Amino acid sequence: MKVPHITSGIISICLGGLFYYLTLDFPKLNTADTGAAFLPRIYCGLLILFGIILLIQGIRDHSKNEESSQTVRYALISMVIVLAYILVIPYIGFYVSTALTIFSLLFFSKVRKAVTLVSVPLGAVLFVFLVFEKLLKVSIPMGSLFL
Amino acid sequence: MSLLMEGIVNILHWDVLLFLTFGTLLGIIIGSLPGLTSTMGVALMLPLTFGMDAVTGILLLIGVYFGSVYGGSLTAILINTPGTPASAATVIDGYPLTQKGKAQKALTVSTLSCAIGGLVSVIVLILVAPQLANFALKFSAPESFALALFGLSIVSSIAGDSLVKGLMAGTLGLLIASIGLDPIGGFPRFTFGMSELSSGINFIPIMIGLFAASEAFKSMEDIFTENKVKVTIDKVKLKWLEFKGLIGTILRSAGIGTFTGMVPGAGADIAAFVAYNEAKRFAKNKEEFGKGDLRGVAAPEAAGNSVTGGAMIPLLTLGIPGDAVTAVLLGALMVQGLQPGPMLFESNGPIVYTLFVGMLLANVLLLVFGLLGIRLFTKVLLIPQTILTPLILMLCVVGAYSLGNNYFDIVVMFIAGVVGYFFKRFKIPASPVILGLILGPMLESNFRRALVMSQGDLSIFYTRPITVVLLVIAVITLFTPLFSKKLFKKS
Repeated sequence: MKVPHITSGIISICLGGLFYYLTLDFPKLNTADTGAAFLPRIYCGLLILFGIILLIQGIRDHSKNEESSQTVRYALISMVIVLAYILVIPYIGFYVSTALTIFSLLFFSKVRKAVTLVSVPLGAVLFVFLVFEKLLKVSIPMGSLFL
Repeated sequence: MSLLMEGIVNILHWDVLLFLTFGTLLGIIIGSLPGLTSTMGVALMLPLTFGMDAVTGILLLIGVYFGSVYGGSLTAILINTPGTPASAATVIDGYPLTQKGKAQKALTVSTLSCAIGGLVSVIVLILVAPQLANFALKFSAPESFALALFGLSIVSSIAGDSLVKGLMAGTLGLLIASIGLDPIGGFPRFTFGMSELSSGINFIPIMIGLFAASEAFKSMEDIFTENKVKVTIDKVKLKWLEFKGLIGTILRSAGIGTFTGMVPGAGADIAAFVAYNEAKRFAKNKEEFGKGDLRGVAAPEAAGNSVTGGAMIPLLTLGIPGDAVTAVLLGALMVQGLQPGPMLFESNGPIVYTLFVGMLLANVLLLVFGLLGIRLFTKVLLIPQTILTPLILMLCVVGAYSLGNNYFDIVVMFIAGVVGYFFKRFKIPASPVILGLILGPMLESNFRRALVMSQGDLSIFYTRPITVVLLVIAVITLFTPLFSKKLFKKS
């Protein structure tokens, strides 16, 4: 049994089924037009079909699963750090949250050199300020706490 | 010929050359930053040109336009982060080449292909612009639908090891593309009452998440594993024989790109994927594609950049912008008092030919800056992974946000990044999702428009010659990898 095939197959079938269910409320305007639901329903049907094929392939496949799940937690922790970063941007603004996030990710990656821990976050923030805010006139969010 | 000579003389002014050079350099920087598109770069520079004379102002914008299309490939090849949608196809073979230590070679091929593609398209623009524009204008809804379907059929070539997974990913892209207001009736689909979803999900944050953020999450994992992948930079240069072997691919892709550029609604992203597919189809040994084949870099790069010249054809000869960036350029031309259309060549011949010469020069500048900068660009690979990964994640966030100063795009990018990470673990290819996202709206709106045109009669799709040819090619493209795999297994 191949876990990735089975997992992706099940997710594909569920997604296809859910979105197909949502199309049931879509209206059809006139006879010439196929309506808002026509193509999405085809896509959902295809997702279910490919999901079933993947599921069968996964059940029939008796080769060993190659991927180790030991290292996933490191990726998951970095995702949590980035999620926290994104969630605090509206409150403390882009610059402060970016500096803190880069510092956290560096620390998490076992960087302990004080120079690196300080210069990389500050350098990155300066780069965004000069290139994005000053040169390209992007209005970087300042955060509700600082406004 | 005399107009062309006049164009050459007009361009040899220090201010024109200076602004063209500045525009090209700025374009390369903009293109290499994820989330910043050619359209955004040109639009940002537009107000600067108001006080300039027509030639200097337009050439500054053209420099930004051409430079940004090229710049997107740098980060695509080096850090698996396509700077622009057009370079999403370059990632497929460009990044594996970097992982093999051949970043310098990949960048050389990308630079040469871009410059040649761009030059070919401008030469085509000079020689046969009006005739080609008339042909492209024959594209109505059924033809555009068939073109989109042909583009989608490429999924089977970029699916990687599992065709089913590739098709599943492509279908997922199409389904995501159907989120938002339905293109004909305006009914909100899959919006869950969220106003942010009513205009659909922009594919650029998804692209940034799927390619760049997911790679950064994977790198965080690699930092902690014992067997870290150490990227080396071999100083092996591109050999003449290798380049000679690529010329056919580059010229074919330049042709594809120039033509795609002329078709309204089809941009550099579509051209790059189509050219990649054709390069693979024409290749005798297809096995190396997706694992780091130079042809896989040359094709999308030549096609992506040759769209620039192609897109100028309907713009200058008919006054029709083929995509968003040429729409901004149309505005710039009109601000300068130039009215694009059939009369432009008669009333402003010297200016038009000066622009042509400037476009040729912009491509030469790309070649010079690209080749000179390769050593500098590859230095990014020497930055330790522990430092580069947080910086990439920051660029993902600021890139997604700056696309439309929209916080929601950051959320979309993050979700796509998480999904992309699990795609990597489950060995599901990400490129088909992008292809589905890019082509989904074009496919649906033209399919339904065609049916409205024919009052629901499906024969509209098999009674028009261009449509039939494109549909047949689409079917062949979709099934060729399947049959060739079976034949390969049998033999």
